[in-house]
Amino acid sequence: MKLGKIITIFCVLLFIASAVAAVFIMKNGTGLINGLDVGSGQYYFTDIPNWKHYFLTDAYDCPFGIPFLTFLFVVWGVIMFKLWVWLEKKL
Amino acid sequence: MSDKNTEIVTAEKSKFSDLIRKEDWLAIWIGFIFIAAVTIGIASGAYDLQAAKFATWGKGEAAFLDIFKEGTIPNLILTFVIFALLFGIGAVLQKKSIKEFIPAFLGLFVITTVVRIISAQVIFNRYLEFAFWALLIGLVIANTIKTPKWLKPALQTEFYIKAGLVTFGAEVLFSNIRKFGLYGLGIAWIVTPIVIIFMWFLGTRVLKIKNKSLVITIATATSVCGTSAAIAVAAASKAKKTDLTFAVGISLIFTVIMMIAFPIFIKLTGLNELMGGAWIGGTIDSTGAVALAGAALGDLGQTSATLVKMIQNILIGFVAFAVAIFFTASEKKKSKSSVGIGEIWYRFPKFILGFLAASVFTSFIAQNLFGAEATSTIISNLGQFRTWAFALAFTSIGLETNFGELKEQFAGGKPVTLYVVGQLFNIVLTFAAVWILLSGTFFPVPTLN
Repeated sequence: MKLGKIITIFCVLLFIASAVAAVFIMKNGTGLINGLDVGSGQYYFTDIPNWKHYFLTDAYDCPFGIPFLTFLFVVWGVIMFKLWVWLEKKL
Repeated sequence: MSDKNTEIVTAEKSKFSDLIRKEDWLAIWIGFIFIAAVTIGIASGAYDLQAAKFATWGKGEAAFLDIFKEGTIPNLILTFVIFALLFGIGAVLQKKSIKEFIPAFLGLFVITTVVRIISAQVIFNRYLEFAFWALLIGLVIANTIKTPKWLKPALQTEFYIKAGLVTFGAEVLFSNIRKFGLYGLGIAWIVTPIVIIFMWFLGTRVLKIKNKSLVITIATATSVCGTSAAIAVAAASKAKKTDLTFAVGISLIFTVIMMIAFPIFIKLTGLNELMGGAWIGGTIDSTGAVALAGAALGDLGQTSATLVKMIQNILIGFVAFAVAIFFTASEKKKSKSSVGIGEIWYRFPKFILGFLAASVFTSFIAQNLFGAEATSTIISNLGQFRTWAFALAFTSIGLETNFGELKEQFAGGKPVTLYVVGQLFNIVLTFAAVWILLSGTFFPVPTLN
């Protein structure tokens, strides 16, 4: 049997086991914390009840301004996009 | 499967009249109307426009009937009227029958309301929320009693998704980029595109999955932030509804497991809270699961996890934008002619621009004009409209999908392999970034309050 086939079978079995385990976890309320009104069902950060706490307060004193961080953000983004396009042509 | 009705986005030649006739543009106007109406109310103090929201009920929370107290019903009616009016006008402008649309939309809204009430149950709310229940209830109806014909004029999945995404753009605060400085940027932004590219080539070249939209939707759900990112990128890549269903489903299942397993594993390894939290923030798909798993480590773990995830959340719009350009260019290349700017423009999913414009508005204009507190209230209220739009979309998807299509999507387990291997790569690479940036070996350890 090819390695790829073995990996796929393993992943599918893991998926099935995870689905069964997820049902078991939900049935028992495993992992939830009393007083914390949040879980995997809150998809985005503004869905978290206390999201304003993180938005309105600065937990970290950042020495850099938004323009500098934006510059780095854009540069890395452009490099990665170009890499993606280049690899798409080459591979 | 690739006909117009099964795609999230369809593109045609641009005309000036597209601004009031095409779904992409109408979605932008609807999103902007939501944003303007909520912002004017909050900024002027004249009114507080909110969509209906159901309080969590059951198991130690409020009793089931309590969710209908405190003006819920009038607010539900108001929500219906607003959505029916805006999407009804949209239907008229797209030359669809309003007489057929309104009763159909009422039916869809009632089903979606049931979905939202069920998903407000405490356990369902914590673990799965509306997307899962909308899909499940829709699928059960479609595959048992069959979706009635009169309901079909309201099943405009793409329209609800696009309008919801433009509204959602207002919640994507680029100003959050400063929240964890270079540390957050390094963990969230260096790793994410590498994982996307890795998963793209794993899916398209190694696993040879032919459905490229499915590959990019799964890759983005894995590397950015689960359901929210999957919705945006599925729309940007013209994915089929079943692609989105599959990506969301697989992400939700593994998120539940990772939310429990990750903190346990981190405690066993003895990794400190700061690093453990950042690792969680960079890997677990859903933001709520990140907050919960981080909290299981401690206060510092929760803060670290949430900050990294908040920065990763910023990426949704930019990744969707890049994917839209990539797929638009790829589409054109298939026709073997050169790719011009004009060509790219008319094939480009325009609603992405609305999404980015909404993000710029709240990130830089609203915060400066009205302050952070008022902006946070605006965002909270818009979040409810976005949730309704997405819930309508997911219910529509369920009502239009049969189990056979989902079975086809399984493609011999390849998409599952893509998710599992990609997530493992994400976990390893994020740990490397966390160790380099936060272990104190190369850079000073940051202080979080």
